[in-house]
Amino acid sequence: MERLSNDWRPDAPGPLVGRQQSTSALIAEYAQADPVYVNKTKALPQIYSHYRTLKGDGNCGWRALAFGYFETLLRLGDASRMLEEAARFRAFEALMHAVGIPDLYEDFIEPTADLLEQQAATLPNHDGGAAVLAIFNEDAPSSQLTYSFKLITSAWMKSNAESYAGFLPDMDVHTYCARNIEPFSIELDHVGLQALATAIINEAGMAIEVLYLDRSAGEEVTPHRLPVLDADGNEKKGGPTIRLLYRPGHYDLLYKTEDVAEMSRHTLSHPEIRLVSAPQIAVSNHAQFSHIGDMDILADIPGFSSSMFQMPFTPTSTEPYQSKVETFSSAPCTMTPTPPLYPSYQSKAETFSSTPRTATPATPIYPSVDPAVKEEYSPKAATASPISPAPKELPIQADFKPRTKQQRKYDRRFKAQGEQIQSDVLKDCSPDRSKKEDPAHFTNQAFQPQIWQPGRVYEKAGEPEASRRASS
Amino acid sequence: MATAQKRITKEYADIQKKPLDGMRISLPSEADIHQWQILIDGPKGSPYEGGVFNLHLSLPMEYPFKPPTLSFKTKIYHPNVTNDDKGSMCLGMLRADEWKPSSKIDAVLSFAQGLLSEPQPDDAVEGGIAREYKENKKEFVKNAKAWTKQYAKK
Repeated sequence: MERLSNDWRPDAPGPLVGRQQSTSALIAEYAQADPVYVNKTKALPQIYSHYRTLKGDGNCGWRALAFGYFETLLRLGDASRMLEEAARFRAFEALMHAVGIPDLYEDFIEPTADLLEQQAATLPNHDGGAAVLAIFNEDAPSSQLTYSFKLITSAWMKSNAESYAGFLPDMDVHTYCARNIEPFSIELDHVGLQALATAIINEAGMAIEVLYLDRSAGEEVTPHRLPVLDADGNEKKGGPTIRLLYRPGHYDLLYKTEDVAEMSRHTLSHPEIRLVSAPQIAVSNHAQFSHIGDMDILADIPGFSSSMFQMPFTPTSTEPYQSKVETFSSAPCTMTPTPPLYPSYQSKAETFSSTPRTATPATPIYPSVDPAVKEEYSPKAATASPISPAPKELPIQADFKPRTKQQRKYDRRFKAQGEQIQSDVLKDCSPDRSKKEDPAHFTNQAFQPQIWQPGRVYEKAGEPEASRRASS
Repeated sequence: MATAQKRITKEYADIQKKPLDGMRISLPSEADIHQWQILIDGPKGSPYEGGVFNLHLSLPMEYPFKPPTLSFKTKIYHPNVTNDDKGSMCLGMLRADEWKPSSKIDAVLSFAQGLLSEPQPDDAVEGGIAREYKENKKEFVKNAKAWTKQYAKK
């Protein structure tokens, strides 16, 4: 019985890797929260237009970086670079043998290398990451891909034990790996993040940036960067960055506006699979609208508004997994009554159902000023909250046709128009920086994520180990 | 699922090729690779010597990302095995938060076999038997031997 209760963990809601969505959804999610969160989320869309949720199943950080790694390689669109990465993964077999992790190469490392090679074959034009997203949402392949990053990180740490010993005062590197890296569903901690960056991500020329959305002082999310270093230990600038949005206990992926645009530029040049579709608008008095078809192209148009797209176009797509409908219930919108800046443009059709703006807000996730709460954040509470979107997928019968030349011309025109509108909207919605904030809101000025130590958060909270492990 | 089956099939083949000492492994149903039957000989020098213990290993569909479960079908007097009709074996390495997808079944079975020679009373599921093991080893050995004779006779 005790064992059963120890092993029990709630089934976290949501897809393993969510769709890319506008960070304006975060503004809505935090509208009722402490002003620190309100300000930080409000500032997000100016720099980070989109984010992607990860399932809170204990693997969020690892899965986010594994997915982000694939996505970044696709975004760069360089096939030879991707093949080099595949070769590097294959070469890890030797490292695994050297540290005594035998016979597991084909179970865990090979599928990752295979997927890299398979995706390299689609470059320079690709499907916008739709196939990789689909694979990362299938349980077994997703676990396998994620675990390959863990296993290599573990092997790397064991083979460079002296570099990590200093960070692990309480145990040796082997024990640490056995407890904190190799088990599945164990949250990514700071030492693991550092090792993963060194072993795989930075070595691939990608920096990692963790942006902390917490109660620390400031009006923007606090960044912590793990840069790519040259031989002299200086940061090599100009390369791609994978960004994680960290809320204590949970990681999601965060995207800069230009990264989202770059991703869709590569996909644009491939008319066979990159065809925009006009949404079929179904407007009701509760602001319901639906987008059908492949909407990735609208990534360039954060100011895109559904009303702009009342065109008689037939949705087009050649990818079956794109022909789905998702239904969302968006948060009660009690903030400035502006429609979401960045309505979804996902690769799946969607129906948004936003509650009337006058709706009674749900219980705030973050009690306003309660020093005892500090930066503790419960992803479970947040995801279970009625104000957080709960996507459901329904099949849709869409009649797909390839787009005509004329239609593509329209696409470009609307894209340009959208960019204009985006800049206008951004101007309107930028927070007024001259306005003084009440310093009393910053209840936890001492929190410094840059020197944050994993584990201490939990000690403070006095949570039992089991719940700690299930928290991510 | 294909992932699980592929790996389990490989592990089963490897174990058949290189059998573990004192253990015989088979599939009760050839159609279901997820359920294994294991017969373990009571290790020499232990109170279980002379007995044969029938164990059941169940590998979940999510294997290796979720741990297998191991249970004794033969009743055994042991601090780490529940004294009920389930006969669940308490192994740290099989707990969800400790299980490593990189662990293999042969390691699990060897560990279980080792536990017969050396019980771990500090990680016990049967507190009474654990206390007896620590405080009155003679009585423990007597009881374990008696149960072996009664339930695990060859």
